Amino acid sequence: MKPTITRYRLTISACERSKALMRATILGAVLLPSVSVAMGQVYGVARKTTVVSGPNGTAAVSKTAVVGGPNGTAAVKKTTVVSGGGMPNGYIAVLPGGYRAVTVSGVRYYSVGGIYYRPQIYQGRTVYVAVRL
Amino acid sequence: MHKYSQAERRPVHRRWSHPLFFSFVVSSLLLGLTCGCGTGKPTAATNDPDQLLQQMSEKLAHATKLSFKVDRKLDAALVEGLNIPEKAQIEISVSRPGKFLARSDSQDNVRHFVFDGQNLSVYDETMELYATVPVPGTIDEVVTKIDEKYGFTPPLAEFILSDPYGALSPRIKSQAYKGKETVGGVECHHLSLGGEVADSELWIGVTDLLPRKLVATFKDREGGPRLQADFSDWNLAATLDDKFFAFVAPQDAESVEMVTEAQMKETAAKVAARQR
Repeated sequence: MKPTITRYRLTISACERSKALMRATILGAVLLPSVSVAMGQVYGVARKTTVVSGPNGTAAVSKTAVVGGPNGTAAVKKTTVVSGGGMPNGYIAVLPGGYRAVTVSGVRYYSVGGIYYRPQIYQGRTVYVAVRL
Repeated sequence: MHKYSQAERRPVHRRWSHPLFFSFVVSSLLLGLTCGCGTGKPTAATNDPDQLLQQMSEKLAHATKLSFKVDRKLDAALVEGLNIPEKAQIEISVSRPGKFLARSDSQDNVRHFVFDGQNLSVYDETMELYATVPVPGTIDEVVTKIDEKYGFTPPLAEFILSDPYGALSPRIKSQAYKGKETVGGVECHHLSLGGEVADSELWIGVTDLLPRKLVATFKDREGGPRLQADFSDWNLAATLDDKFFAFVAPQDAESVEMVTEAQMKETAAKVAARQR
């Protein structure tokens, strides 16, 4: 009798597994269209920026920019970002008053108080990174 | 909210194991999805916040071409580098599944977010700068990709996704119905939605089930700064052709780089390490 019971149990078990698999598949198909979009932003408000601290509590960032060379050729020019207490995230969101636009090698910068700023789009807004040309 | 007692649940659970009954239920569900049942006109409003949120979501999701306006106020703490609140009038146009345009006009600048199904462009009209990145896909896909890589989403993106409920509900940890109130001359249901990052108050029109006002208080920042959005000018059958969503950079505008979250972190870390 034992082998019979075992076979019976195995048969039931396989049947149940099959049913469960079928249910899972169909329910999965039913639920698939409602898979949601996972967003880190809440209502379009940008996440808090991580500040990387340098010495004396200042923050800094460096970039290598590709700029236009003579006759429209591309040239790689390294620009070092100037950082300080006024730029806790390595950039400023608003240019200081009295800035003027300057074009260097076909690239637009803004100059104010002897500092050059390169505009970039970060987190959907224009920000300005101070650079040494 | 299910209010069935245990005694009521058990027989139903047992019936699920019956193959015929199970097949019937599944077939009905699939048929319902195929026919778009439950996607038509919203039924009479209830005072169940979750149900109201779902009805609002369905109403928005089934408009293939829509436009609306938002008056948005952001406390200074919600915008990097800003020390006064930002007030912006935002116009949003959507063509499902893969196009949108949002124009934000604030006291500081005018910005455009344009997605044509292939590229996302952010254009700063005030400074005459723009950045374009390739992100082919649907609105849902671009919102996810941009969020992950560049750390932002278009303003109030939750309301233009294919399933706003799916985007909003996972964040909701508690909810309450606060009664009916009039917002901008429209009678609304007032919902209170508690979340981990922000607690929100949402007002949904009683008759049209459209969002009318949103106030979110951000708990992850000092002082609990707030976002307020007043929705208006809803058009769920807008006339929008593909040209409307094509971004053509103005002649005087200059292309700049769109910096990723990773780039900003990496470079900042390198220089900080160099200075140590």
